[in-house]
Amino acid sequence: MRKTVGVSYNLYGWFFLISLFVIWEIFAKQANLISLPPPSTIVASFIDIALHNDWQDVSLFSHITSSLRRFLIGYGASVVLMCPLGILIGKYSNVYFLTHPTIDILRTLPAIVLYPILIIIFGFGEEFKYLLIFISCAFPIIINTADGVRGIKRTLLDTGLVYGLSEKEILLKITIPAASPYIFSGCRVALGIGFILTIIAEMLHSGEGIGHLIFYSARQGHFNTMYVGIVLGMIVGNLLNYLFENIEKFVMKWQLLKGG
Amino acid sequence: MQNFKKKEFFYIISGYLLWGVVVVIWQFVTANKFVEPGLLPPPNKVFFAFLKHTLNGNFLDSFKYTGSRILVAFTLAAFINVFLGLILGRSYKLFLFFQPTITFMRVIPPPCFIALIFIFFGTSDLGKIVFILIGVSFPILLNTIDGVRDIHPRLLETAKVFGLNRYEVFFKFILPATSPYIVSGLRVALLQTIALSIFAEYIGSTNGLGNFILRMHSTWKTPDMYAGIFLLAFFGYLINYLFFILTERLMYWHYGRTK
Repeated sequence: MRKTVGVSYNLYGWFFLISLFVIWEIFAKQANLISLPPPSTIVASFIDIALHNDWQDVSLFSHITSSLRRFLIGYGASVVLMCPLGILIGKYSNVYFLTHPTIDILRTLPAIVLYPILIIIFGFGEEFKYLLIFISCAFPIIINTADGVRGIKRTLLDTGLVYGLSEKEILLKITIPAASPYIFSGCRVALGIGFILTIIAEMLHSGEGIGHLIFYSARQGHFNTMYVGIVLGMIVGNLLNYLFENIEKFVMKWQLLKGG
Repeated sequence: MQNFKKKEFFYIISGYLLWGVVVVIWQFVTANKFVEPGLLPPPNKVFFAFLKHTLNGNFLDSFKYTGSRILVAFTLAAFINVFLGLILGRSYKLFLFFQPTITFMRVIPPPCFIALIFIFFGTSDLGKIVFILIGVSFPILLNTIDGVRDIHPRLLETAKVFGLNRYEVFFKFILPATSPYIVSGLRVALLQTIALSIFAEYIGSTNGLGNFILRMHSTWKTPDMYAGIFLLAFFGYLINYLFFILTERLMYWHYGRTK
């Protein structure tokens, strides 16, 4: 009984969302503001730009790929470098107490603040974007990983010792699986933050990319293109989240199967 | 907070001393001109620039603008979203009804619509506050909803058995049970308000701390720029620390249990 109620209200919810779009369409067509085009115009511009490779001689596809490239490099480097560091910090209490003051102070610093310094050091190129994304993603990952490893129950580790496992085996078979919910949670937060920062970095200085598309078309007054960019940003963000959730499910299932 | 043994104490102190070492290395590097002076000014220059701007009121001015925006935006976001979250958490039907809309809107990265906000509101304070509001609402909202839905049904049945009226149920059961989730949502939101307000000031503002940093950056007054960045770091840390103390005080019962 509860389930049918649920399904019908959710359906109403979808109708509500669609009706919002319909209202937007009607209102915008009536008002004919250049700054608020109706969804039909946005879709039309999207198809137009996508097919004719029109905007600043760079195809829509390569805008998306350059944004993705920057994000994946920064985020990937962050995960690969910060996870082991986090495990180290969580495992050895000496390291934890050494780095705790630093991390505590630095994690409240928004990564955007470092933009001027990075520009001064690296100039207006690609490197500062990679570093900006890397730094912003680093803190959630390292903090969550360290918390996860620190929170592993003593009994689990002792069981490993009792079975005579080597250090490496304890790490691979006990520590990492036990901490993996925390590690994934950290990586998920970092995903959101990292993507937001690629767009910010592209808005602040870039030649192509989704953020650049949004900001510079807005500056030139091509508001249709700006909306196309916003929609693209939304789609890519959604895609990344979806990919991440699937990867997480896959890895977790694999671990459960192994009995780890 | 915790009782540290001597060895841990040693490591914590060395954690702080590490920063002293960093400053010394910094001084050494700039003194021997390993790095261009334009890129990395010596620490004493940064320190004096910091003092100068504090004394001539520049920092206080920027503080005033940035701080007031952050305060207004955060308080508004907190109240509106906790209120909405409590309603949506309590009523499953309403939650299902708004779920597609929320899921749709929450994926939009905040910087995507800053251009939109500037078109409609101009670069006024209202625009920035609206921007921060939209960008920061979803963590608070979703966490509050999670918190309300996580309340054990037995708790609510107990309240019913005791015959409490609706207000008592709310203030004595629901609100305290949800508060850990609300606080965690607010903590995330606080970090994001600071970040988003600085970003908004980078792009369109004539006052405030982010604008100060960018201005010093474009006029190549590097010591002043670094001073501004340090001030921002300090400011961010202070706000978060205050928030931490406040919530630790108000939620002593929760933290006591989980420690």
